[in-house]
Amino acid sequence: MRTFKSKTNKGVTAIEAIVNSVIFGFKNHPFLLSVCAFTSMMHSVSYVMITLANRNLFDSISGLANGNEIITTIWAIIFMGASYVGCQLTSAVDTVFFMYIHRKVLGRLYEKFHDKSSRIAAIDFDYPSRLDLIEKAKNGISSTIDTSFSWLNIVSFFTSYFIAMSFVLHSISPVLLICIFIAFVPVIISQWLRLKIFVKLEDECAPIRRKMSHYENAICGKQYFKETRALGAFKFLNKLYIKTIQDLNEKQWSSEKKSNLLLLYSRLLTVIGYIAVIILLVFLLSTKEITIGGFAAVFSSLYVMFSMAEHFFGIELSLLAQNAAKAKNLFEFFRLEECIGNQGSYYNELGIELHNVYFTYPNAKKEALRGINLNIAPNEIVAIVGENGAGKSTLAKLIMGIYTPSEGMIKVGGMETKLTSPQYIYRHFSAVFQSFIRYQMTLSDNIIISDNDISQDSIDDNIMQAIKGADVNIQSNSFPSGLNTILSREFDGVDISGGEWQRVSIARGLYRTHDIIILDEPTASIDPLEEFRLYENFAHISKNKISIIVTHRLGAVKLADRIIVLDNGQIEEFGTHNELVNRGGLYSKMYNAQTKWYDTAKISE
Amino acid sequence: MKLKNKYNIFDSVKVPYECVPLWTLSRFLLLIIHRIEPILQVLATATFIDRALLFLVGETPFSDLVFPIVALATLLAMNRIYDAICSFLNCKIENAMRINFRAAIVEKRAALLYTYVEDTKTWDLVSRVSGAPEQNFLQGMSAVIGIIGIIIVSIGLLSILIAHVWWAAIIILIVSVPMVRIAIKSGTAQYQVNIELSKTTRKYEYFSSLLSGRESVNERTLFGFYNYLTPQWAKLYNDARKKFMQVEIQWAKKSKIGGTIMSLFVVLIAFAILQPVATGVITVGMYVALIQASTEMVQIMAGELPGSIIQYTKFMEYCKDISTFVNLNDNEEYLDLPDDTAMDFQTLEFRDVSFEYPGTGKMVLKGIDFTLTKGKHYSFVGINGAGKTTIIKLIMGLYSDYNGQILLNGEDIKLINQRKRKALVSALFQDFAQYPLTFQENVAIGDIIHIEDEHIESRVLNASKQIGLNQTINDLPEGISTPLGRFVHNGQDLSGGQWQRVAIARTILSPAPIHILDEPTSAADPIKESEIYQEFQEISRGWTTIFISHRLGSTKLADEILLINDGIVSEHGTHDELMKLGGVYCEMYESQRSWYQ
Repeated sequence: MRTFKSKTNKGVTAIEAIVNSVIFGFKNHPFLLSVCAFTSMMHSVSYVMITLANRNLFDSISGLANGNEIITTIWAIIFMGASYVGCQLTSAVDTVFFMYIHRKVLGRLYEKFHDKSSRIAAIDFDYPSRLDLIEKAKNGISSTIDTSFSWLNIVSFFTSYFIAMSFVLHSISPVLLICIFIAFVPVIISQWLRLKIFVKLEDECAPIRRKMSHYENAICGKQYFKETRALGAFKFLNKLYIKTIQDLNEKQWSSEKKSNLLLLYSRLLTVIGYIAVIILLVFLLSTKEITIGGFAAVFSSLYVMFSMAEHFFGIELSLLAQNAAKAKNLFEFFRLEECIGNQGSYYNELGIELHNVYFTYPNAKKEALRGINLNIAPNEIVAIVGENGAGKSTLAKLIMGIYTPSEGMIKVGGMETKLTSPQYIYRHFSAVFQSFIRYQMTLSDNIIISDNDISQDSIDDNIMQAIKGADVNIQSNSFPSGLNTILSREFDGVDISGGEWQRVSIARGLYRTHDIIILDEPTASIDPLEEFRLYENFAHISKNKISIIVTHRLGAVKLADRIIVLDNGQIEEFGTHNELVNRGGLYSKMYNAQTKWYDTAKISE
Repeated sequence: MKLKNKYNIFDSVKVPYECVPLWTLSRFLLLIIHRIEPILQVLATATFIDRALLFLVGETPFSDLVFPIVALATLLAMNRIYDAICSFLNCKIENAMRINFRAAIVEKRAALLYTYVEDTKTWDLVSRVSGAPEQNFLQGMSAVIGIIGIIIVSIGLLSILIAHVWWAAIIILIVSVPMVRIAIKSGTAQYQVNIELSKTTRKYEYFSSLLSGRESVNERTLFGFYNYLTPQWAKLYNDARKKFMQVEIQWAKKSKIGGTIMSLFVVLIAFAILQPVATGVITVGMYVALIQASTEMVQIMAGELPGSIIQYTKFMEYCKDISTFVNLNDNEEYLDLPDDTAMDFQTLEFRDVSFEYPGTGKMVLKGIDFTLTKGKHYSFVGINGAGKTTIIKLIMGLYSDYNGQILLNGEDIKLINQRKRKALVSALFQDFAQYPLTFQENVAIGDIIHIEDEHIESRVLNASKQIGLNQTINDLPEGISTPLGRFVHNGQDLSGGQWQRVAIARTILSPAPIHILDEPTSAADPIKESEIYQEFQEISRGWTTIFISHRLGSTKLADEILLINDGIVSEHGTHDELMKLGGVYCEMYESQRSWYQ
């Protein structure tokens, strides 16, 4: 049984997000991820090897100057060469592996995201707070991958580096372990400062940037172009635009100052750390605790060590936090309810029944539909009319089962929409939606996309029937490659007109096997003469089905057996066209508003 | 700031210099300092080690070590704060570029010939150029700086090497040449592949949006095309993924092989200078320093150079784009205000006008003739694509390469300047503009010359009253001073119908003699549509109007109807005359009317 009570899932915490991200990675590609961890470790260890090799080399060089064997130096050089080469190779392998796995896991996560999107209720896309979550979830996909790899880095790269480095430093002189500590201190202090002073490092620049781009658009964007030129509005808008740029520049500079000063201070702190280490090294050198080789080796690794510390504490950890925050949304999304229900059997003779249906959009204050009672018999043509915002499209979606009622019951062929698993309901419907999609695919795809269940042999026949019914002329120049014409300039295809698109979408609706078809404003872009032909055609092909036409063009409703007039979410009146005109109510008013312009008896001034 | 006709790599520095010379120079100064630092560091390290060795055996006092230590610390400090200072300078440069260069591009764009706007390829180019010009230039500058820096530090380090091991330096130089060539080739290759891949990426991202986006939710739910589209998405994604990997692997192979070879040469050098160290010709300190210098060179050649090359290539491509852009035809008059003097309009005549949209090869207007007279109301009817909107675009002067003549008061309209053209016509299109301005400004923009006059507020309120917007204004939190749209956080969105009325109010305010309305009631329901027709009758007294609609009921508002069919005026006259004629108009009218009988 599905419900729409937006279950406020106790949200996902950042820690949970991190854990889930890592688990996702390992569940799907355990071997690859382990290899990645291994190469990472090797890469970080290679840096430590370089330190060791350097120490070796410098020690043997100074030994050589004092007359030692040349062979030790030769080995030392070879070792050094090997460690540099090792570093290059491990870094290459690490990067390539990372790229490979990254994309693989990302693909897997996208698959899961698409799958979940197809299972959740359609209404989730129709109210702001839930839609917000869905969009944030999509943005969280790459963040989730980044989170799990961040984690991997922290464990296999940074941690192994510092552990290995500790061993090496200890072997040179145990006192040197303090270097690691010194490397960390400045970074930790600056992160702490960042948290304390700039608790919310808000992006103050984003709103001004948006404003600037709006003005820029208004001056020379495609949608505004001809009007701005015709009005002569350039100078007026440009003044506003330039002022906004000045504001943005100020904001950028002040935010840059803040963040860079902080960076500067933290870097200066690291310099103090450097100096401290150098003094320590000199001291150890002077007391013969370490050799010149040890000194040189540690000194030359300082840059890497401090960089690693900064990277780990400053960058990687904060990246982890940021990404986890976005990944949260994805996991909250995965927790959303899915549409489930019982099996159902369709009995055509039962038609469609609506009993006392109420519907409110989630988080809305007002009910969209109130007390709807309606029975539609098999083979009936019903028209639903009303002003914009009366609830016509909402009612159509409820009948189709895309939404389910907040209260009351809707039965389609005996199956109750709230209790039945959706695919049993959808199987009997087809539709021509008001905002139909213009798929950037071939003409053929644009039609057959509505029904995957048609057997391979019947596809061509069905396409031809659909095209005939919708009056799509595949011989015309608009479709240079016939059915294989790609309908989009984007992907090297062609553009077709609004009217042609509308006919394609009607063909799409007709192609799908159905017992009930719903047409929502199907002729808005079509010329009157063609509209006439289309409806005549339609009356012919819809003989054995239930047809529901939603429209506010009253001429078209002449086809209907019955007309339902919606006003403000309620059924205001219903009946045949003549009954309603004679009643003198809302329908009559709407009808007269349209006909008076066609009344030839009245002569215009 | 004036845009140049041709841009090249040096402009990545010249243009910022023009905008803000001080900071650009500082940036270069900073670069030079930053790149000399490694050279000085090598020398300081050598000095320090040598003196330290002497100190260890007691031959020099500790005080001798102080100078090299301080030098090393200072150099390290400079190295570490380079990034932060760079950021400051880049910000200043970016800001200056934004207000000078970007604004210049916007101005050029606004003055382009209208043909380009409706030509996809050109408009794509325009979008590419105007996307983020200041960032593109900064990256170009960063590439130039990177390369110059690499040259500086290479020369420096090589000099040190040459001073001690002259032949080793030559070997490194010899190896560097193919290294650099590889870097350049890989850089350009990777850039090309990325462009090809971006197409595939766009495609699978599109499929992804169909599978999970809001727009497609209804069809996705009812038609259940998840099983149909998912394999296609997967195929595209995996194809792209494999291609990316090929590129990555190629890149890794090339750059790391280069790096490995150079490392081996460092080994070679290390061997080569063993002898001089053993015999004391080269000090230990200098040996250490030389090895350091060599490994740094490897770092730079294998690590930094390829990246700079890619940036360089990207910028060169951008230069090509922006040079093409600057050479597009424009006319500064397009930016002018409309003429202030009252327009004396008597007649507008189309004489044998033929026109085809550039590049389509299809004639839309085929020798069309008609005359519009002052004060009359015209209705243009015809099926979609017959040429009605095209006529409007020609009247407005959006296109001027037509055959035949358009005469204003008997004079060729091409002789009239843009300012007068703008003052002639006020057009309300189906896709009218919803400006990111206040309610008042959105209406007053129809009479832009007077938008800041003291009486404008009452004029706006009057027009709004005429078109039934009073309630809307009262519902807005700040009345007519409320910003419309989501461009500011306190902006208010209006419904489609309300916006349509704002657009009509806009045209009410316009002093132009000719008013054109193109399908103004397409989104309205019957009652609203009827109200708009009625109001329009009221508002348009005294205007010369052209009303375009394919709903023929509206022709009741017209004094004369022109039926545009296949690029010419096939029928014209009053409604009664045309009905008597019994032609296409009659047929169309009857078929629409029959719905209501």
